[in-house]
Amino acid sequence: MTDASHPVTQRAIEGFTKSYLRTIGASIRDEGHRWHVQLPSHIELDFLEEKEFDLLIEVDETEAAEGEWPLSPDSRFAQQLLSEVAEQFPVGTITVTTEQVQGDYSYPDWILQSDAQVESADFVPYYDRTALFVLVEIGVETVSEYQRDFLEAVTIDTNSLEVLPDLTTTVSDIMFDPIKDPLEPAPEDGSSEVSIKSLEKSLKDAQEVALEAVDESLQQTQEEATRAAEVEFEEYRQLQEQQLDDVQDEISSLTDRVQDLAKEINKVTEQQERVELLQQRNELQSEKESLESDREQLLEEKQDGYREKRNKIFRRHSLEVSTVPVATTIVTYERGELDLSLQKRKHSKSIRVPYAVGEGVTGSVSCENCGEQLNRMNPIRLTPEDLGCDSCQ
Amino acid sequence: MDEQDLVDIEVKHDPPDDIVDAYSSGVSDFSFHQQTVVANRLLAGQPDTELRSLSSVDEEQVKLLEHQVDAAYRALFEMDGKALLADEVGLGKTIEVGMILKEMHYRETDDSVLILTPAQLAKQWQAEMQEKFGLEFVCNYDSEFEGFDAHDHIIASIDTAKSDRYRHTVLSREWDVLVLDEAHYVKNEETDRYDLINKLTYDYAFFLTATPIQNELTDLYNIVSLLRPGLFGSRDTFHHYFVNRNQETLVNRDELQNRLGQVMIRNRREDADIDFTDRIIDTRTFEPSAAEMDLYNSVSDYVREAYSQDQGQKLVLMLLQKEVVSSPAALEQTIRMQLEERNELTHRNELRTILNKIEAIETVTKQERLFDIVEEAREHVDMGRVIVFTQFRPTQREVIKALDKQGYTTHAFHGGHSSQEKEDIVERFEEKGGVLVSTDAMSEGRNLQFCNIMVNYDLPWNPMRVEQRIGRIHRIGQKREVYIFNMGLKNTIEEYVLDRLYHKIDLFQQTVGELSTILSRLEDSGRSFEDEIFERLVNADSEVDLENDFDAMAIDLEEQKELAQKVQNFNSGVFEGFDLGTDDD
Repeated sequence: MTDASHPVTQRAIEGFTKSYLRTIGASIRDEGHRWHVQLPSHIELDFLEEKEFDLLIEVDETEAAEGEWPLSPDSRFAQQLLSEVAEQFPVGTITVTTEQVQGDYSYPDWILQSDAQVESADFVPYYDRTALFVLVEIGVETVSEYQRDFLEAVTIDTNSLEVLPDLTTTVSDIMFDPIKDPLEPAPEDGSSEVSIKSLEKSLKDAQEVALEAVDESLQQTQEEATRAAEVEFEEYRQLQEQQLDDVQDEISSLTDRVQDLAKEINKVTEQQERVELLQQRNELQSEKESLESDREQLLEEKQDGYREKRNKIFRRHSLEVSTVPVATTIVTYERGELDLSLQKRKHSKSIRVPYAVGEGVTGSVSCENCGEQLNRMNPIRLTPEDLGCDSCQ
Repeated sequence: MDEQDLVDIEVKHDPPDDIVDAYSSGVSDFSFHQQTVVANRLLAGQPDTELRSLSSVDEEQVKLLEHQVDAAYRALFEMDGKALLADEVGLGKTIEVGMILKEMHYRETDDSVLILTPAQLAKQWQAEMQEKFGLEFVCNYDSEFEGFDAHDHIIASIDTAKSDRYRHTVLSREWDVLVLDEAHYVKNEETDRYDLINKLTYDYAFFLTATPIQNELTDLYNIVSLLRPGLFGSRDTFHHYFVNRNQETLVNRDELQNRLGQVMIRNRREDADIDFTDRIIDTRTFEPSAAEMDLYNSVSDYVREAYSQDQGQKLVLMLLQKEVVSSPAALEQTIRMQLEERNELTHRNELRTILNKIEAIETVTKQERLFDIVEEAREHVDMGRVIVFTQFRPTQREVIKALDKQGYTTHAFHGGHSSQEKEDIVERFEEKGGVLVSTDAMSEGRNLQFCNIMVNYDLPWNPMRVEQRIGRIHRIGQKREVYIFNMGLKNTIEEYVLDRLYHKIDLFQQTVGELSTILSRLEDSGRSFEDEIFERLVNADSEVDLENDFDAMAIDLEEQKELAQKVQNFNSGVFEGFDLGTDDD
C-alpha cells in the first residue's frame, strides 16, 4: 500500500518522454531546448499525425510553430502522451532476484533494535512464488468537494493472498523512477503464469487493500462533506423557522382582521353590506385555515427535526468512491530462508529465518530460548552462551 | 464527529475487465509495461508543483526567504489557491503574495487581479509589486484609473471598492484572483466590507493578516468562512465546539489547528530565522537662531489666522507649516507661488513680511549641523555613505549646494528622474560613496542596504513615511548596525512630533509592519494622522494647550499600540505551536 502518484515536474515529464520515445524506437536529437524526434515507420502516436516533430523545452504553447510541440507538465503533448501510454501496456512481468537487490537484505526491527550486529547473511532459496503488483485508481466524489483521485500500489501473493508491503516498495524502486532509463528485467522462465481466476481474485483483494490505505483521507473528506451538509441543513432549518414565524404573524394578523370584521358585521344594518362583509370574513377565514394548515405542517417538520430534509441533504452530500485496477505486474520472487550470523563483541551465533526476496523476513519469529515473539519492543539478544531476547535476558 | 452523524460513503469496486482482457491477449515486454506504470503514476500526480517563475525573480530587488517560498508554494499547490497568509508581522506577507502572483502570471492564470488594501497602503503595494516582481498594477489613486471595469490588474482601497460609486462594477466582474490585505478588517459579517468580499466572484483568493483574531474567535470563523465556506460547519457548530462560554479561551485547539491547517499559513518570527541588526537612534534638536525663530513664529501665526478664516486652504497652510522647519528655501518657493496666484484671499502683506524674514536668515542651523553628522560618518563609515531624507525639493537643492561647497561627493534623488536614471544614481552612490540627498520619492522597493546611516533632515507627519525611509536601509541583508539621525528645531512643531509622538510610540524602533497595524487601527476610526497634528497646532490657544493636546494624542496612540500588542499576543496564544509543515514523505 503505497501512494504511487508522482509530482508531474518538468524534469519528470522530460525523463518519461525521452524514455518512452526511445523504448518505441524513436530517434531523438537533443539540442538542449529543442529535441528533434523521428518515429520509426511502423510506429504512430494516436494523437499525432507527424512522424517527425520537434519538442520544445521551456517554450510557451503560443510560441510554437507547426510541427513543434512545447513539452511541459501541462502541455497538450505531455498530457496526451501520458493518457495514451497509461492504457497501452497494462500487464507485464518482473522477476525479483537476490542479484537485483544486490545482497541488500532487509532486516526486521527485532534485529535493527538489537545490540547484536549482523556479521553475514546468506539467502537459501527454496521455491519461486508469484505475486501481483497492482496500481489501483481510487476516485472520490462529493457535491461539495472537488473530485479527488488516488493511485495506490499494492502487492498480493497470488497463492496465499498475503499482502506484501515491502515487495511493493522493492518493485517500485526497481521500475518506478521516471527519470532513469528502463532497467532490464531478469530473464523469464515461464514460472509466472497465473490463472484468470487467481488473477481476478488477487485484483479484487488489491482493490480492497488499496481502499483501506486511503481510509484516513476518506474520513477527512467525509468529515468535510458532512460539515458542508450541516451548513446546508442549518440554512434550511433557519429558513423554515423564519417561515414559521412569518406564518404565525400572518395568522395573527388575519385573526385580528376576522375579529374586526365580526364586530363590523354586528354593527351594519344593510343586508347587502352585511352579505359582502360576511363573504369577506369567509375568505379571510379560509385563508387563515390554509395558513394554519401550513403552520401545522411546519410545526410537524420542526418537531421531527426536519428529518426527511436532513436525510435528503446528507444523501446528496454522500461520498461516491470507486476503485479500479489500471495496471498490474506479475512478480516472480523467491522464498526461502535467510541464514544470519549475529555478532556481539567476540561472540557470534547463527539463526535461520523465513525470508522472501524483496519483502524481507516473513511471518513471525519467536525467541529460541523462551518462545516469546520477537519484535521492535522485544529485540533479539546475544550472550556468550546463547541467543535470547529482551524478555528472557 | 459521531460516526452516525456523518454522510455515507458508497463504495463501488469496478471489475478489472480491462486488465483481465489484456492478460488474456498477452503480457507486454517489461520495458513497455514500465512506461505504462510510470505514465499512470505521473497522471495521478499533482499537475506541476514547482514555482517555475522563481528563476525570473530579480534577486537584486528582492531576497526571497525560505519561509516565503514555502508559503507561496503551499498556498498555490496545497491549498488550491485559496489561503489565509497569517505570518507574524515583519515576515514579508506581501512578498509571499508577490511570488504567488508572479507564478500565476507565469502560468497565465492572472487575467484579472484585484488587490484590496487599507487606503494608506495601496500605493506602497503598487510600488512593491512593480519593483520587486515587475508586476504592473493600476491603483485607484492614479490619475489614469478609470474604474474597476477599465483595467485588469488593480490595487484599490477596500473602502473605494465598496463605495456606492464603484461597488456595482467591482461585483459585476469575475476576478481570477482576489488579494485582501489586512483581512481582519472584514471580520464583522454585518459590515459593508464583509458584504463586498462575500459577494465578489473569484477563482483564487489570498487573504493577509498578522492577527486573524481581533476580539474573539468568531472573527476567525468569519474570515475563514469567506475563503472556505463549510470548513468549520455552521456558526453555531463552531461556537459550540471551539469556544468556551466567556470567549476568552478556546477548546479543542488541536482540532481547530488541524482544520485551519488546510487554509492558513502562519510563520513565526522566532522560526523564520530573520536576523535584523540593531538600530541606533540619535535625535538631535537644535536651538534655532533668533531670525529662524522669528520666521517660525510668523509663519505659525499666519497659518493659524488664515486657517481660522478659510479652512479650504488647509493643504497649502499645512505645507507652509512643514516647510518652515525644513528650510527657508522650501518655504520661500511656496510663498512666492502664493503671491503669484493673486488670490483675493491671499494675505499679501503677511506673506511679504514672511519673505522679508526669510531673507533675514543668514545661517541655516540645520544645514550647519548636518555637516557634523556627515563628517562623523566620513570618519567612521566605509566611503562615508550617508542618506539624507527631506520632503522638499528646494531643501534638497540647498542641502546639496551646501555639501558640494564643503567638498563632499553628493547625489540627488527625486521623483523627476526616470527609472533608469534612478537606478544609475543608486549605482553611483554605491560605487563612489558620499551623501545621497533624497526626497520621499525613493520608493519602498529600492535596495540600499549597502548604506547604514540615515538622516531625517525633516520629518514627515505621516509615521508610515518615516518607517518607509528607515526600511530602505534597515532591511533583510543589512549586516551592520543602522544609525538613524533625526534633526529637529527646538520649540517648533518638529520637537512636538518627535518627542511627544514618535518617541512615545517607539516609532524609530518599530518592527517592520508593526506600525501599519497601529495606524490602521487609528485610521480605521476615520482619522488621518496628519490632520490630527495640524488641527491641534492651529486650534491650541496657548503653549500649554498645545502641549496638552499633543499629550492626549500620544496617549491615544499608546492605547492603539497597546491594543495592537494585546491582539498580537492573543493571536500568538491561540496559534501557539501552529506547525503546518507538510510531510515530505
